[in-house]
Amino acid sequence: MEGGEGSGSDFKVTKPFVKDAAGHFRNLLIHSLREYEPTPEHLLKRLLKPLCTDIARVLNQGTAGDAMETLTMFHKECEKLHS
Amino acid sequence: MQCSPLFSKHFNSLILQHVYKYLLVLKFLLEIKGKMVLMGIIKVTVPEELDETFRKAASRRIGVQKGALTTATLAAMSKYSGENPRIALIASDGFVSIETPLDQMPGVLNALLPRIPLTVSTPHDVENVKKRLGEVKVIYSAPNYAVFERQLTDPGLLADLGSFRAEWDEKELIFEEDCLSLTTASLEEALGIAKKTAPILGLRLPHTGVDKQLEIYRWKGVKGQEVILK
Repeated sequence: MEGGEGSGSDFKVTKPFVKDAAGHFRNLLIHSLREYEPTPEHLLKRLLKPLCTDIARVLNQGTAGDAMETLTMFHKECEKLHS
Repeated sequence: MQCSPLFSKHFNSLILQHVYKYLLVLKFLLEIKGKMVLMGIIKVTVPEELDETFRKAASRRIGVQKGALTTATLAAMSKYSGENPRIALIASDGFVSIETPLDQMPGVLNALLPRIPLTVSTPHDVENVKKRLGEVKVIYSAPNYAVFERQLTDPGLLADLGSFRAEWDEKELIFEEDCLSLTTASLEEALGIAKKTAPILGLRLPHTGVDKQLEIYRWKGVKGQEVILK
């Protein structure tokens, strides 16, 4: 994948699977802001399982930098909850 | 005793007529049985204070029109029974979230996704993606994972992937079967998107202003919609 940290480019490009993880984490947070909480089945199938797959992908295909970036993006989403 | 042949013929004809009428009625009953929604009746005694609170909440969320209390009661029962709303539309500062049956999703995606090149990641092999969408520009691939770029005249086709994340400009759409979320820059933008998608979902937007978040729900088998303003 091009443009990652240490690949020689001047700017850092976030890898798609890192963005996937952040997106699914955001989706999970969005559901917690609704009046009606999702059913356990919806929570597991649409929200948690995709997030777990993303995390596995970051660990298997990413670098330590990608893992760090994933957590940083999670943290940014968490901060939005308090704003 | 023996009947005359003439009487016997007349008698048989009468029986056949009755049998025929009976079969017609039976056919009619079987036909309407498939279209009928059976209803149950629950009688409960509600404490006065709870009754008042519930009626206030119902008028706030459903309105004061005829049938509003029934809609509110059925919505509350659906929630208590662990049902998911059949349709949900949430518009807030920063996102729009939509849940609707799968057959409506292509229409929703057509309304939400622009006809420009989209970067899409999906938990499918590249071959699987090409089978569904035709030729795509592959950016990255791994077993059961593909990232590709594609401009679609019919973005609703992406629903066939079942699960994907699409990004363009500063926007991102997460799609999981019958549930999607889209990032927005402001509440106004989110409400604009809600206005565009509500007719596709069979929902009506309220005329009142929204301060922070708008939620509209429709429950399975329940007429009317529930509106929550935050």
